[in-house]
Amino acid sequence: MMAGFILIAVAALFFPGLILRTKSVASGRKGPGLFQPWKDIVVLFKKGSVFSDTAGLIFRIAPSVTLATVAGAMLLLPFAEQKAVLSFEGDFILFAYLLALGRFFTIIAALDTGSSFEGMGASREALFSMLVEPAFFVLMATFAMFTGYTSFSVIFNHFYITGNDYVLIYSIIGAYLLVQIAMIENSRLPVDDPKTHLELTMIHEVMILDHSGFDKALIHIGTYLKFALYGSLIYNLIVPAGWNVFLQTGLFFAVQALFAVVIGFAESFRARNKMNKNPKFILTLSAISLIAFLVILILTEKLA
Amino acid sequence: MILLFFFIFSVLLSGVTLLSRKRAITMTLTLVYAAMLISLTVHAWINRGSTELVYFTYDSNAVLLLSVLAILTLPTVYHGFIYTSEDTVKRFNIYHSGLIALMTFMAGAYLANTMTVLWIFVEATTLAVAVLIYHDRTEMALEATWKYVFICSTGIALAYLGILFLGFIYGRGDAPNLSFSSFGLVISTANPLYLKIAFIFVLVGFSTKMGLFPMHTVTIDAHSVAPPPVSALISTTLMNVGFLAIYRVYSLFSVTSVLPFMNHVLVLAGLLSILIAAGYMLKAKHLKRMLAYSSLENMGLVAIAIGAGGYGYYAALLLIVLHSLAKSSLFYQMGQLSRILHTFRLDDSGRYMKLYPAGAMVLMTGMVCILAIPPSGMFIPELMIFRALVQNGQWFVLVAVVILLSFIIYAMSTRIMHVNFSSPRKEGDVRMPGSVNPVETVSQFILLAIVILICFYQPPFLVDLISQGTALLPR
Amino acid sequence: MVNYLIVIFAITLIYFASAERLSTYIRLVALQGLLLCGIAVFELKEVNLGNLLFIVAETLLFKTIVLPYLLGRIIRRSGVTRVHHQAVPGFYLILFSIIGLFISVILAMILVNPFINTIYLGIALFTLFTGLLLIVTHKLIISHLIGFLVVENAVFLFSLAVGNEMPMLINIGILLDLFVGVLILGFFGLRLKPHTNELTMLKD
Repeated sequence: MMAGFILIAVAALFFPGLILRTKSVASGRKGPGLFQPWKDIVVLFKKGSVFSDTAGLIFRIAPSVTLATVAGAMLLLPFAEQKAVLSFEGDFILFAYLLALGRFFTIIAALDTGSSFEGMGASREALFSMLVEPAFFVLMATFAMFTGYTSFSVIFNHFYITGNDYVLIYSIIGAYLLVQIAMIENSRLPVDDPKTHLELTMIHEVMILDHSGFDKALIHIGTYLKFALYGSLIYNLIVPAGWNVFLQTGLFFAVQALFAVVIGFAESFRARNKMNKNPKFILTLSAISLIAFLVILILTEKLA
Repeated sequence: MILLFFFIFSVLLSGVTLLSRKRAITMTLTLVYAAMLISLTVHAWINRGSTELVYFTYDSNAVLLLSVLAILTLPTVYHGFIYTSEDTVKRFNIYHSGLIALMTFMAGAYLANTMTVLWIFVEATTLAVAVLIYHDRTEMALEATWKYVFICSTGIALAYLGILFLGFIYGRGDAPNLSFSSFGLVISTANPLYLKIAFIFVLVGFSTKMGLFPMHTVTIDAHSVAPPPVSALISTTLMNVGFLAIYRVYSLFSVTSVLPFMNHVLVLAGLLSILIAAGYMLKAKHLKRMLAYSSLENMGLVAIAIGAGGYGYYAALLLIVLHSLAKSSLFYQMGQLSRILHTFRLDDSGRYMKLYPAGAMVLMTGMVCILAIPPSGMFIPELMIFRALVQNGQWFVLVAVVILLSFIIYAMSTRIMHVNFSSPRKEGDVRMPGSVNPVETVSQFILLAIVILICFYQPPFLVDLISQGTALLPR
Repeated sequence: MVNYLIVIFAITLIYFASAERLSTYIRLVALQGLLLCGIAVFELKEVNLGNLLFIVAETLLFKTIVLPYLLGRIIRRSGVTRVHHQAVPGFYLILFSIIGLFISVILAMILVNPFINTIYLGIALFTLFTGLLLIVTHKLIISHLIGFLVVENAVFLFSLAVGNEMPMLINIGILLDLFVGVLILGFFGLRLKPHTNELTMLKD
């Protein structure tokens, strides 16, 4: 039962370092060590926090809430044929809205600081997550429609990638969509550049600009766990649930590593979008998810 | 056989005209073509009801509209000679070659008895008209030509979609034959939703040709920019082609359950056309554009006539015929007006009665005729339309149409009176007005006289022909 | 196999709404021509060989090679800036495209007919909608021309749906390509400028 939870946590240990390493190698450098991001977090734990006078309660509790929601979402994902820790009908809606709750708290904490830059970033972040939500829900709904169940654990138990042509097409589209959604939700290129230092161009980074010390560490841990979370979702899509457990463990880490490398390469060879192209870019994802929906409609014989 | 000869010779004439070196040769060839067209019409009258070359039938509607085309051939050619008399030989040839091609394709479209053949001929007319609209080679002409070809192509593509939907009705295994007679056999078992969709596509697609509401803008631009003799032809006979296409599909579907739906759609389209015509005519400053809006209004009336049913069917066909005669004479007059006043703009025109009384009389008579003021013959079909609307209880449509028609009467009559009697509003650069031999107006007076004659006496052969054409429609 | 082609076709239509450069449009049109050729080859099994060869040749040559080449020449010759002008911001284009996809799928489910493949109907309706959307929301006349090409592809798809019984309909639909050829000739012959977006001289 806890296997999924533990595996995701373990994968999160490697994930950010792998992305950084890939980006460095693609730029021709050697890059930092694999565990460097976590060493940074340990350093942060040792530091104290500085809170501004204008910030109130929300600012102090937001990072903890974020981490708590991500951990709660981790409880919902299954692994192999075991059920997840929490599993009931319609739990993918809880999944999406737990993550949304975390984001909500980050947004209002950003507004709580009273800084206009953070407010600007918060409004953009709210818009982009709103636009990406239909894509995610349509995708999940098509999963549910295809297999006939509405709980993550049960859906992935019954989803086989090698059905007929249409299932293959659907899985390819679904995997592509999940990768894109993951990159948007985690504020990566081409929507948001995590390395930018110009506040006018920041979206996610600017919201967490004022946190320090322990809180900052919590936020970073939440981000890394979210990455691994999406990686686990993609893994569940690709690999059928019935295979040998040890093989699956190995495949799990392989898929996560591959995911990290793909993100690293995609980031290295892409420029950041112009800000007003972003809504169009994200809405395109919803359009593609509609196509996936269409494919499933054809598949389940609801459309000839 | 005669039809085959007609088509082959027309194509040959059109091609040879392009190659001739002297104006006299082109003029002779065009007159030869006019003679051929008139003899084809006579042949059609004699052989009413028969089918030639598998795809062409001389049924009543075709014969009626073909006769209108034949009547208008000689005046068009005559006025065309006068209009293009100062052009280079090459442009002269292109103009007349295009004219021959256009009239051939229109004749083919009238006579076709299969949906696809009709469609092909309508597509061909678009190309011929484009050549003619661009005759002046000005920038406005270029713009109008491009818009015309493009939007007509889109309309034709949509009409083809409608035809495809008709094809869907057949299902598997039948040898499909898209001729109208064989459609009648399968139509009663077809899914009504398909019929509705097919009708809407066909209506929207052919409304580019007929000048009805959804795609009327292109015809307005084309008619105001084309040379006046060409305008006379395309504003009347080409709109008749569009009308015939829609009418054939309508009469095909009228035995099924989609009849009320089609009537509603047609009345709506007609009402919106008249509304747009009235609105724009009140601010029109270009005389040919005003006449183009008048064509739009008359086509709207025809659509309402068909949608109303009963008396409306007879009225629609009569209105189309009379409108062709009256509108063409007005357009011929516009050609002469441009030679005397050197402009079409309302602001720069005036004192026409003093400068050229014969032409001004044509304008006055033509105005009376086209606005359906008695003694114009067009009053009869309009009265029948109102009667049909009252019979159906469509009071709102009736009141709206009457109010809009009065706007149009106001707009057009003030403008034409202004041109005839007042002095120009802007006495800008006054060019010496040209002079035109009054003999040239004879053809226009003859056409208008026919229209006025119909008001008092409707010859039995005409009544018979029209009644035969509407015989299949439900009473 | 046909299923893959149809899904890729639908994806190209969505790409139309989100593309920014005119050269992307031309590449998409060429890709659509290729996909249509493939669909025709796999779908029309009951048509006699000569007719099938004609259709395949026409689609391949005309739609995939000749037309994009001519369009590319127009763009390069007139130096139209690579970003096309539109009257509506890109965001709304995608939104309308999505709404169009919805409407086409619903319409196809309503119009279900045992004799036609419903998938063709749905995708053809979506193609029609996208083509009309392109014509209505763009200002450059070269974009209008590309929109017309997409409408033509819709007509081709529709006629493929009944193509096995009535191959004549497909042949006549190909005549529409002739029209496009004439329109393009107009660009060359009349020296139209593709970035003419001031077609507003004809007023009252």
